[in-house]
Amino acid sequence: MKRFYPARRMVPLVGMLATALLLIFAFVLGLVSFGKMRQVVTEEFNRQQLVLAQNLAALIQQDLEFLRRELTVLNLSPSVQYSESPSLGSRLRVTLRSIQAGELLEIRRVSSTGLEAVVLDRAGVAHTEQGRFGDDPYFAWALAPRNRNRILLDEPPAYIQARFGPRPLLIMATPQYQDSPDEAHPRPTGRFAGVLLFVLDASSIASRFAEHAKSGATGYAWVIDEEGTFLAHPMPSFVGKNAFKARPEFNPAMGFEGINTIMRDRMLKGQEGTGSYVSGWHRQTVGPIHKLIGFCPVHIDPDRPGRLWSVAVVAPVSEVHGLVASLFMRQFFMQAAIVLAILAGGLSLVRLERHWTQIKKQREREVNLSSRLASLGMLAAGVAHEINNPIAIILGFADILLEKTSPDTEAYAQLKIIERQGLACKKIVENLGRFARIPEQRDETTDLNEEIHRAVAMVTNTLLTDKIQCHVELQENLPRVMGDPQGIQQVLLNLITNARGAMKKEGGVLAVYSRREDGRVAVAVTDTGHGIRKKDLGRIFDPFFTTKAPGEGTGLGLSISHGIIEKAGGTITVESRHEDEAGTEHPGTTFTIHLPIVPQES
Amino acid sequence: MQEKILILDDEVDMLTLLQTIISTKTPHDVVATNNPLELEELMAADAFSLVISDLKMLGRDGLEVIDLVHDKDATIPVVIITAYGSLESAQEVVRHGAYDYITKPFRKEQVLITIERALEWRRITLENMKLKGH
Repeated sequence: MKRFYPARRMVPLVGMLATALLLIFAFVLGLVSFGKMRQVVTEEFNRQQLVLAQNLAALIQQDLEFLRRELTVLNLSPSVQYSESPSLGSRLRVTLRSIQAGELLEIRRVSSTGLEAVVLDRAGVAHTEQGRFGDDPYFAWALAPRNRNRILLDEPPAYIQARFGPRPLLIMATPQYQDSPDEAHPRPTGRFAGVLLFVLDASSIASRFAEHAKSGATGYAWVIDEEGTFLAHPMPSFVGKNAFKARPEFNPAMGFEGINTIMRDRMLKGQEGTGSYVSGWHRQTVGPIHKLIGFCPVHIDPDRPGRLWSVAVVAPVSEVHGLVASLFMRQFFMQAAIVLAILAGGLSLVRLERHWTQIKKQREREVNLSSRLASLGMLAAGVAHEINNPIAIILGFADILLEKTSPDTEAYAQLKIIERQGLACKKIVENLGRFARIPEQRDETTDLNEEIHRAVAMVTNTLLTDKIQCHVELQENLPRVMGDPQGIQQVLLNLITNARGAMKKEGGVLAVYSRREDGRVAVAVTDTGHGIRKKDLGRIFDPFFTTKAPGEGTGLGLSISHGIIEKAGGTITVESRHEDEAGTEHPGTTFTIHLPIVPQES
Repeated sequence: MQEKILILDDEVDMLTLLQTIISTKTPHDVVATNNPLELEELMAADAFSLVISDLKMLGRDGLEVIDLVHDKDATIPVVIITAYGSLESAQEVVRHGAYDYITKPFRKEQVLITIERALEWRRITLENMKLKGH
């Protein structure tokens, strides 16, 4: 009968589904953790950009501080205070040389009248200019006594700006008073002497540090002033242009709301912080690029906190994300490998389990078969038993009638047929009976002497008929041995039957001995029959080996006996002398069985 | 020497067969019944030298027959007829005191030999008893 187990069929399917779900879940979890990790790393990266921006701002501030100090020191010089030619020019040149090339464009000393100025240009050439310098805003500021010893940072007047083109400039101005003594003026007058000015290149100051700053692999820094004008940017064309205008000019297709908002609402308000925006380009690449920004203000004028520049450090997000992604991919592949390994292990377990289940089913089938055979056997035994009666009667009367009938009649021939067919029935029944004999395990220990008595009792009469003398010599009080009594009985009967067969022709003596021997019990079954040939001795325990005529023996008796004794933990051996072999005086065979004694229970 | 033999078997044809074999091949007298419950009655009426009985009969089995016969006279041998293949029951009847057993189906020679041996055994036993008794 074929059975289907729909529920069982579902098991692998459900398992696969569960595994797939688990994998998807793991993947989603991985993605979430990837996002989280990216966020964390991004934040950390941006914090580093902020630190970089802070450092840049500090450097720029230091630079401006240095310039302020230079201006102050120069202002203390008597040659400058008293405008003594030619020492004034050389003193100005000393300062010019000590300041970074590019930052300081020129030094101006405007006289106290505001009508004359001594100018030292970058090349170190001094000349005098006439003009209404007194109208310049710084001059008015310098005249105020409260501004003595203070420094003004301001836009240059237009005539100066015009001289240096559109680049962002800055002036650093301080009022001059004649308060330093020298040989010509041992007593300083203390009078207002004019204004000392540095004309500075703002972009040069800003770029000096920003241009070397690098964030990640391709990130860079830029600086804007309080108007939003680029003071420093890796793209030279941007410098001097207003950031709000320069960007859309460069890439009109893009909106720059993100960065504009950051600049307007945070950077230009003097805040420091981090953020992100979409840019229209990054270095040589044009197109929408997600960028990270860290920014910090530079307070350029300690007297006026409102005056500030702002340093920004930017880098494309992809740089960070690429790094995180590669890390994450490595992690993901590792996880996937582990999951696959577990999966493979699980699958092989499932297969193994199936294999076991199949074996179990097979066993169950075998057990079913054998129990079916057993009940069939019982039925057969019953049938065989019942049928023996009628066969006995049929054969018996056939025999009697055959004796009464003359052999040359037709009736005799027909009676012979009845007898032959009856014998055929008998054979069939015998075979059935043999099939039906199912060994039943009842006991595990045996009283050997008792079994010998029984076996011998069963055959005594038959032996007498065959002119065989039976000699039994048993040691008394033998301990019980291992082995089931039925099996041992069968072995003994097999051996006796063989002995009988060997002595059938001329009769002889069958002897059975039992004795205790080396912690075991030995049983010997000896006959004075024809013996076994040497060449056959090695094979007598093989199944289907027989020396009897075909149909008389199955060749199974000794092999079954051997199996029974071995199962009980014993041994069975044979010694034999065959009558036809040279030098044999007393032919015969002895089978000796050794069985282990049942251990005493303590 | 003529002896009296009692045969018990619930199968009438089997009785007829055994009766025929014994009466044609031996000088002995046969009393046969297919009702084993008649055993006591028959034994009270006659002195038998041998009882042959089937093992499995309706109403009474062979082992009981052995006991009943031996209760009356322990020198009367009982031969049990049993079906081929039931070695255990054969063993059991011998242990139970049966003189011998015959397995069905049998050859008539087997029956005759067994009967003669059983009767011989009884004669010897009786002689021994007589010798001992005097």
